Amino acid sequence: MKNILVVDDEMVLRMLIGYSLEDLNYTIDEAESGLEALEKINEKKYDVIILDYMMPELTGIELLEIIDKEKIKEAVIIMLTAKTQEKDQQQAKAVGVDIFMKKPFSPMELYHLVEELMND
Amino acid sequence: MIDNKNRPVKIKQKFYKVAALLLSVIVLITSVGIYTLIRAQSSITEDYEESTLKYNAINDLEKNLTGVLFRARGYYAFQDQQELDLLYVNLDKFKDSLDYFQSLTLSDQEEELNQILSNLYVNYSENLLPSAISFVEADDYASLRTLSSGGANDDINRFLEYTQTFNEETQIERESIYNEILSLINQFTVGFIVLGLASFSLFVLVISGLLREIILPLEMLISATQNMKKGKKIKLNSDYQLEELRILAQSFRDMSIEVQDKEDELMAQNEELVSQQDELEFNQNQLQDYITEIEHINKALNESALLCITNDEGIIINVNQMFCKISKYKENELIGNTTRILKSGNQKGVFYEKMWTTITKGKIWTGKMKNEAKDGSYYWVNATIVPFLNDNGKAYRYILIGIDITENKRNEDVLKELLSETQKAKEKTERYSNLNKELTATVNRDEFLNRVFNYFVTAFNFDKGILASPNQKQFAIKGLTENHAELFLSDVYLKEIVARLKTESYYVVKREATETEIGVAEDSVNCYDLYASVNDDLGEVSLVFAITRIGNAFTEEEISEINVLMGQLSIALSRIDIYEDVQRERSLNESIVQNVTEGLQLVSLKGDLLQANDKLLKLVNMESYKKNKIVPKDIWINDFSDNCQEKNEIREFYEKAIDPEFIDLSSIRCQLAEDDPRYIQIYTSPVFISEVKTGTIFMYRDITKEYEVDEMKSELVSTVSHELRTPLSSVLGFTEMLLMRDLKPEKQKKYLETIFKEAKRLTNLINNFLDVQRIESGKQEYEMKEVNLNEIIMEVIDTFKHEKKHPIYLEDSASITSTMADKDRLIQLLTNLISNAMKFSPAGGKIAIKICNENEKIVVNILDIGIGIPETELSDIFTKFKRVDNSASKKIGGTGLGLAISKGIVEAHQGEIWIDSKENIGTTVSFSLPVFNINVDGELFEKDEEFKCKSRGDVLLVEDDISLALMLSETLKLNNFNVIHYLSSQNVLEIANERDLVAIVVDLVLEDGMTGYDLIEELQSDEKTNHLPIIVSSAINKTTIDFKDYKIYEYLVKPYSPNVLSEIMLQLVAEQAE
Repeated sequence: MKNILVVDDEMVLRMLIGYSLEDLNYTIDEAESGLEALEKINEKKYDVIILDYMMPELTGIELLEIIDKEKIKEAVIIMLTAKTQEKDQQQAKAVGVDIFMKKPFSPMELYHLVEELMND
Repeated sequence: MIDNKNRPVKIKQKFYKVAALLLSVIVLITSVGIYTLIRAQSSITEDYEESTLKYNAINDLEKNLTGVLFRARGYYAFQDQQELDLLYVNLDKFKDSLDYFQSLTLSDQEEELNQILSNLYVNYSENLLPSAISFVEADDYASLRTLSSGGANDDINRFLEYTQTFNEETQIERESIYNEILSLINQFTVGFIVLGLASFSLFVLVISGLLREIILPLEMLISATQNMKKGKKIKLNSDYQLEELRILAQSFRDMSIEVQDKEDELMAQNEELVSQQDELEFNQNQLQDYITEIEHINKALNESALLCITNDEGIIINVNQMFCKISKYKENELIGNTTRILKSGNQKGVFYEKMWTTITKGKIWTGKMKNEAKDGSYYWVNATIVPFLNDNGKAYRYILIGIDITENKRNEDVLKELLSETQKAKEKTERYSNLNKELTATVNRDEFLNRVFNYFVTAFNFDKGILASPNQKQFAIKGLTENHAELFLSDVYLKEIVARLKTESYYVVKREATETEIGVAEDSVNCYDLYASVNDDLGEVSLVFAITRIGNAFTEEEISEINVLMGQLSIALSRIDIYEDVQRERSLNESIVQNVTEGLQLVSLKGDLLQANDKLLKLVNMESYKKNKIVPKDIWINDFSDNCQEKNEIREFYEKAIDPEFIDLSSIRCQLAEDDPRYIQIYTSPVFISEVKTGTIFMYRDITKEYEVDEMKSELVSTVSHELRTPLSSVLGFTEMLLMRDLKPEKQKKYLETIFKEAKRLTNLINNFLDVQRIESGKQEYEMKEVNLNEIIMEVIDTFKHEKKHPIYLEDSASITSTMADKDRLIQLLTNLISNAMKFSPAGGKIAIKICNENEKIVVNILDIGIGIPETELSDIFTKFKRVDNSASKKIGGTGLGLAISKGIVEAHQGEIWIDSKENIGTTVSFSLPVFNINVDGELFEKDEEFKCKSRGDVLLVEDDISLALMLSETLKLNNFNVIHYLSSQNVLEIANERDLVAIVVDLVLEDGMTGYDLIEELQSDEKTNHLPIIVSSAINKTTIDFKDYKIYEYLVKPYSPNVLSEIMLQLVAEQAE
């Protein structure tokens, strides 16, 4: 059983992501803030972390910066963001983001992406 | 000297003696010479003749021999007898020749020849010839030839040879003889020449010796004579060898001595004569000089001086031309007249008396006098009168010598006049310069008037006067009262004067003095009033100068001077005008500079700070800088840049801008290093005066606001994109899933609901953005009408009736609720605020809206008991996109635009909005709007005050019919009841518990959820509220409802008069009071 963590401050988006991935029969945990995600990552090992960039208190990048890298070294980190500028992407890649998805994203694309990742 | 030698010899004797000696020597020598010559010549001649004879003899011999031989050969050849005869003849001749030759003295060689020839002859004539004849006759030629070749022929040949030689020798000899003769002749010639020369030399010698003896004494005598002639002393030596000379010398010496004596005598006489003559000559020259001098003097006198001679009675007896010329009288008109004719009457009698006494006493008088010429003109004479005295010492003539000094006098007068004019000019100039000093001393108009006027007082000495500026109503006076001066300035007087002065630069009025002006004078006097004006460039009268002199008229000069000075004043006045303009301009500029919102700084070309306005100093925290004090470049740049975070950049910017070469505009942004960061944009611009950079201006603009807005705007872009993307993601995402997946109908519905909700959210967001945009740009139009605020509030509350978690009520304690407003915007405002209240109390909870009057305003408070806002966030809660940044509020979401829009709306209604909040307790957002009251103001507030003191209590009104509720509340409020409106029965119990109510009015039929009946039941069943008097307000008849045992205080059937309810309330209050 693979573990997926969805981190987004917008409930409706967490819902959307949850629904889009529900057919894969993975465990999907949700965190509505960076701090909550931090806690969850510390407790559990995730294979995929879907991370929103813009969140109150702690942004996705900030979260990755302070997180214990050991905990996420095997996780694929997908970042959902409206920021598409090259420098933002570079900054994100530097802290460990693997894949970018631009908002608004396609749930089906996300589904296929995660499915593919899990099969590898 | 030895007597012998000294003995004198007579000249004749000596001459003859010498001549004889000389002649005899010459004759002797000549004779010897001639003799020698003749001897030599004869010897040579002899030799020559001898030689000639021999030569001839030999030649004859040869010729004859040759003839012999020739004839012999002829005979031999032809055997001719004739030839033979001829041969004999020739042979004879030969014999003769030989004989002759033998007779001659012969030399040895010749003797030998002679021998040979003699032999030959013998041989030939005796031997040879006969044999040869025989041979010829025998024709024996061979023998002949033998004979011929024998010895005879040899002799002949020898002879011929000899002859030949002899001839040659003789020739040589003769030539030598000839040469000898020639040389002899030459020698003699030379000898004679030598002799001649010697004789001549001797002659000359002797003669010169003789002559010397004569000539020397003669020369001495001559020189003595010359000396004598010259008068020198003679030294004569008479010791001569020649007697005659000796005698001559002697006698000459004697004569010379005699002559000497006589001469000395003559000399003495002569000297005397000469000296007498010299003296005479000198005297004559002197006399001549005197005469010339006198002539010159006379001439000069005639040219330059007047000459007049009178007799002792003063009658003119002589005058010169000059005198006539100057006095213009003719000579004959003057002569015979007394000098009185000349008097001009200029000098007094005393003058002439004095003159006469002086000259009659015999003294010389000198003095200047003015005389009258014939034509009546005057002339001045510098005269000297010399009396001529007779032996008694009495004057019998007077001579006047005078020089015409009329021109001098005239020049003197002109000079005097000039001097006085110069003096005047100098005084005038001094006055001008004094005035100028006064003029330049001040730029204050009032002071200017006083100074100038004081100057006029001293310069023109008038009795009273005024210098007034009609426009400014300022003046300076002398001898006038202030009142009079003000009267003068009033239109009555001044208008006419000004009108006249516009056309005339001045005028003078002569009038009789008034009584007060006459003063102590007995007679009436005249007064002179002078009016002059200073006109400005436009010709308008800017100053009026009016002065009065009593009994003392103004001279032309004074008037013209005053006129000139008025011109001066005009210039000075325009200077003051300019100064005032400049001052005005300057103070205007300064106030502009000081009051602009930007900081301004003026820096010199060198970079020193010349000026900085207060704004700037405040902006850069340099208020310690003194105003208008120059601050050196390095200091201010240091101070200023130290305040900034970008120290080096700022410093560079300053340096670059100050550089005299830099003439561009430039700007830089800097952040002031303060706790509260401020951003300043510095602009620089060079200052040019006639295209030359003279300094630099820096302008500082506090762009903190703009900067922050900028920052916020860029944040906005990301926020908006984020905010929009979230609902967009949901809409798109769920739609995609709906399309792509086969879903159960329930799920489909759920998805669609979400999509709908998110799409609505999106719409709201967009609307809010647009609203903000409209409000901020001022493009929002407001349709202002009179509205009742409580009515609007109720309507808005009504729209929220589905929000069960958040019961909303209105507590209305405002006596006046009408205001001027755009109803739609107010609804938006209230909706915003109520939604916020709901959003920020996610757990639910009542929302109270309280409305009351405060100082001509209606104050609305919206209270919630939600999560509250941290204190730190409160300050800029109304800023756009400001969202309370904590997790609790984040959950709620939103655009961050609600409050910004609300603020915009309130402010557009001249209201205020503010917020109070405590975290986890709740938030109160309040706004105030001005009341709109057609009634007289003031009444309201008295009522308000009254109300506050005398509130009779709260009445809870549960009524969903808004208009009825309002109508009821209106009357209740008039009766000083506070009304709490509930549009539904939701949560009524809670408030009924909390508040001490007078009563509760319940509508039985409520549209939504709980009915009034249920509420009554609840209220009655609760201990806390069961005592509350309940008044039922219903359209339903009482009988149709079973109230069980509920206590209903009053049952009112709609419609009923609002007053009925109020009366019940009053009654209740009265009961409760008991």
